[in-house]
Amino acid sequence: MTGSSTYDKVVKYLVENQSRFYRLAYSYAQNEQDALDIVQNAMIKALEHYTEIRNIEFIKTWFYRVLVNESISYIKKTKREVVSELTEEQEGIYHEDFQEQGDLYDRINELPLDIQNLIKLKFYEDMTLKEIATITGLKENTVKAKLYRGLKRLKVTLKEETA
Amino acid sequence: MSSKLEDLKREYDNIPVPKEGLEQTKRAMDRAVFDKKKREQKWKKTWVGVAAAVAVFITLPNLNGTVASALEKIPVLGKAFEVVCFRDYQYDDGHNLANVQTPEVTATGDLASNGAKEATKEAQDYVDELTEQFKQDIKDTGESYNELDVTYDVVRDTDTWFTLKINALSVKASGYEQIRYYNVDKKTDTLVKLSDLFETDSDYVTLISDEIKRQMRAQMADPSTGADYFIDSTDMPEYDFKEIQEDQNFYLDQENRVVIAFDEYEVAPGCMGAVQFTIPEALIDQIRIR
Repeated sequence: MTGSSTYDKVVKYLVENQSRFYRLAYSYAQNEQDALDIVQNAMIKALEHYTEIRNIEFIKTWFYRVLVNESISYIKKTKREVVSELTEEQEGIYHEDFQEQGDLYDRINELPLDIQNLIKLKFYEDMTLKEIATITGLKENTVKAKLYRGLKRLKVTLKEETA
Repeated sequence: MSSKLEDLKREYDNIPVPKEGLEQTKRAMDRAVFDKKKREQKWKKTWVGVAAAVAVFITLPNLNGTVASALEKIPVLGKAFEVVCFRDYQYDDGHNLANVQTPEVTATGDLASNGAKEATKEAQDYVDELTEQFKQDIKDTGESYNELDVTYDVVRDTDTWFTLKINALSVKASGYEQIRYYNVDKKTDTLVKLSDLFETDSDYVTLISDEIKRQMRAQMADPSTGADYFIDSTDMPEYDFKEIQEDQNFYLDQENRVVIAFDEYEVAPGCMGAVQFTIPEALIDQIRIR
């Protein structure tokens, strides 16, 4: 008995990082019960599909992809109308002056989902551009470009960020 | 990083985490892990049942006078063994669940059998150990989910050989399946260890270990098997299979071949379950003495 199997490690990783997953899910769902549902569904899915992880070192990016997808599909299911409204207005908003009012935290949730994902992974979860690229399936340069665009919209300026 | 983003991160990190809710999430996960192990175990049980249903015939060597008279002193030869449930331990408090059957092996017809006694003792010690561990886990982990499921099977009962099998499934954060075999040679009426099968000075450990590695590599080279073992790994070579233990778990199959058994996780990832390897007779017949 080595206790080193992929399955065991996945279970261990999930249990140990539950709180982090919950916070990220909460940042999308904005309420406790839905955030818990998202985390639970993502964990169960991860256990069902753990054989897809070729190397246990990739567990973090692999699971965050599951978690982010689960969060987004939740948003799309429950807030479809709200989101689509926002999307239509977004271009207009960004070309005008994005009013720097309200909490930065709240304003992030008004960004398009693909940019929200990047900002949350980068600044909430402290991930590298490379990790974010793996999770979102985007190229690193695309992640970088989108991140800067997102921050610009939030009127937050950064010194040169290195991954 | 700008201070605004630092504030942001702080706000994010301060999102309160509902302990009770996450505990439930964890329990749902434990349940999923357990169901998976249970499914795997059921599948294996069916398979073993089929194998055991195949009739077994062993030809005894021609008996010369000395051996024949010696055999008269071993009354269990040719006699069936009986296995009864010695103790049935059930426990259920909503979170923790145990279903443990402890076997007792006897020779039929009230014969005193040393082999049956030894098999009973070893099997019972093993089951008792698992049960104690379960009770300890309940104390240690409080609200979380533990389960222990222990059953037994007779894998083999011929004129000359008897094998008892213990199936143990214990579930904590993740499940763990263990199988133990207890073999009795009725010719000597003793419990048989793997080392007893071979000549004393033979290197069966290397011989068998090399064969297992060969089989592992062959299976892994064939993608249709989906097999995966702890061998030749680059990331965690310290967990690689090196060699069998001197008294590794084993039994003899219906063709009298040696089958080496491992616990789940011992030599392969959990998805492989508890794996077994049949050793070709030609490889070991030079050193095999029973």
